[in-house]
Amino acid sequence: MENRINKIFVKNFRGLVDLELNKLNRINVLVGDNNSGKTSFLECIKLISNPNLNNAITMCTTRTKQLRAGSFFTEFINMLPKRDNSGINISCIFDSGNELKYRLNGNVVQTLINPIEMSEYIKIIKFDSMQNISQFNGKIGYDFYNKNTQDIKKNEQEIKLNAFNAFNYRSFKGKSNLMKVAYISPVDYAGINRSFDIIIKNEKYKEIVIESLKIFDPYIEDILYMKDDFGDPIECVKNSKVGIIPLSCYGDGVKKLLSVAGGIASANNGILLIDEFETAIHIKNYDDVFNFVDKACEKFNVQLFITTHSIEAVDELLKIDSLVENSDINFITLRKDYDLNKTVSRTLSAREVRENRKNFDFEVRL
Amino acid sequence: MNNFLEYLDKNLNEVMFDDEDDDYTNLLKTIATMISNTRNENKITQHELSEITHIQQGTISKIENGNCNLTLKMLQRVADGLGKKLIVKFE
Repeated sequence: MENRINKIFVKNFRGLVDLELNKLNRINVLVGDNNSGKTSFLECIKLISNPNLNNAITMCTTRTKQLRAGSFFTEFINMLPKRDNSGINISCIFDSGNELKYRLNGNVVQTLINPIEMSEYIKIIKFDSMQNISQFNGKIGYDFYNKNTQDIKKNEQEIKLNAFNAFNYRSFKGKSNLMKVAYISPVDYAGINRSFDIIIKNEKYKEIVIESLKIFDPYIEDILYMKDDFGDPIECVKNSKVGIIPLSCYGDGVKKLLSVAGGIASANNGILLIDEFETAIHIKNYDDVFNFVDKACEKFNVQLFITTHSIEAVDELLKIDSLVENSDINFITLRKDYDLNKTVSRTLSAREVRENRKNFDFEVRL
Repeated sequence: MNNFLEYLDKNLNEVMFDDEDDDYTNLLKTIATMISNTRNENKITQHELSEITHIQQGTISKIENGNCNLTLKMLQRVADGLGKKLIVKFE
């Protein structure tokens, strides 16, 4: 499995066009205006980590929570560039020297499907005639170049996707995980996936996470499952002042830190993506929280990509001397250039950003 | 802050993660797909299943994404709620 991306070229994905990043580091901080493509960039990494159709379909609805969004089919089509039929095209070089080229392209056509096939897609409705539906016909595939053996493994899957069969493609089939990638969205931390399980399973890590949770509440003593009246497990926190209370009683800061801690554990020897790192965290805690994230990611060999809107968060990161001195962190600014029709980027080392902010009050985010 | 940094430096060294339990993750995902497909085939929404089983809809969503440490009891309740019999087989 690959564990670090060195260079990445996003030719086409959602709003990103011709984005070339050649200097990726252990920690990469993406800054930029709203809609500059920061989240899309994180999604690219998640997309190519598991380059098959199941993953593409699972991923296409990550943005639609709390929206009256379309079907999997509609959202899938929305991932593809609208201006032409070139489809999604992403390539990257890993630290190992191996290379990956990912592509997904095709077009939407009106297709006649016979009633028997339609009934396969939706068992509840009885179709008695040919149905004229929109269908995406295309291909998803990747080339993987192994630097040691010098051979190229090619993989291609044909796609015939429509609103009725798209759901079936979500089933998890096959292992084509090229990288371990964990993604933490700005609003999803309340769900914390299996973070709680992952942390509790490892006694020593749990101890460290609890110590880190004291950043938010110094009276936190333990995290554990308790059973409710149905016998179902509930995530709980033991507090020396109030006893054992459900995690849901706590604010989002605690939940976010748990989510991030679990993300680091599941992304060990892989990549962690934190979208809007600073949400739910008070500015006075940025340094402590970031120290935890940095040290843990370093120890567990996790490459980190974070996005932020906050100049205060950037300044707090710049105060961590060890990071700046060791050149472990890059600041990448993204901007959509509508004249050139591409996403332009600027990568700076922490030292450069720090000097420029000090001397010129440099606005790194734009 | 310095104390915390020292604490981290000292204690993180003692953490070892086991290799991800692929088999278990795959099992959770297989069960997730099974539940999801059965629910859709029977045209039951997650909300309705939640009312029948008294499992929160958010939890059902997590189960269907393979993101929940399912207990056997929960699985039994989901099967009951879907009008299905739960059978476990060693192969």
